[in-house]
Amino acid sequence: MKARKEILEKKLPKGFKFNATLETKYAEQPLFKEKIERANHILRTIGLPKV
Amino acid sequence: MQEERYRVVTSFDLTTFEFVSEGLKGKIEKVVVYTEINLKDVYNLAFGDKDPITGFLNDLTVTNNGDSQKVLATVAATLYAFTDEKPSVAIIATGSTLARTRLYRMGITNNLESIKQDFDIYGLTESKSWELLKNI
Repeated sequence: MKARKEILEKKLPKGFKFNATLETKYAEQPLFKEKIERANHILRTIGLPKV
Repeated sequence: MQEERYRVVTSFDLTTFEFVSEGLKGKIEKVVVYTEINLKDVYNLAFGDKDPITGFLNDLTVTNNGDSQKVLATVAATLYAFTDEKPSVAIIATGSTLARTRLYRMGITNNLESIKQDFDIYGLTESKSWELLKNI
C-alpha cells in the first residue's frame, strides 16, 4: 500500500498529499446534500450547456 | 494560475480535499468535495469551513482571514487535480450567497485568460440559460 501511495503521489500537483481517512469522511454531511440538491435542480430545469 | 496556495491533503480518488487557511483570524480548516450528481460525469463542487468543535462544514461562514486569493487559488488547484484524474467531467459550482458568488465570479474573471486555456466555462444567466464566458 505504501509503495502504491508513493507512486500515486508522484502524479499529484506540488503541495498535495494523499490521506486515506478522507475517502468517506464528509459523505453524509448536510451541506453537501443541500448543494447537490441545488445542482440537481439546475440540471433538471436548465440542463447542461450545449457544447 | 501560478498564485501562492496552501498545502493540500486529498483522498485517493481526488474527490475530497482539505487544507488550512492561515491568516488574521488564525488557522481555519477548509474542505473541498466533488460529488457526482444525478447525471453521469457531472459533479458538484462544494467548499466550506470545518467547525472545529462539531466537525460539520459550513459554507456561510464569513472568515475574513485576509487570504481569499490564496484560498481561491488553492480551490482552483484542487479543480486541476480533480480534472486531471477525470478529464471529461462537467462541474457545477454555485456560491452560497450573492456576495460569495460575486467573489467567485471576480476570481474567474481575473484569471479568465489562463483558465480558458484549460476549461470551457459557462455562467448561468438571470434568464436561466448558459453563456460561454469569453471576455467579460
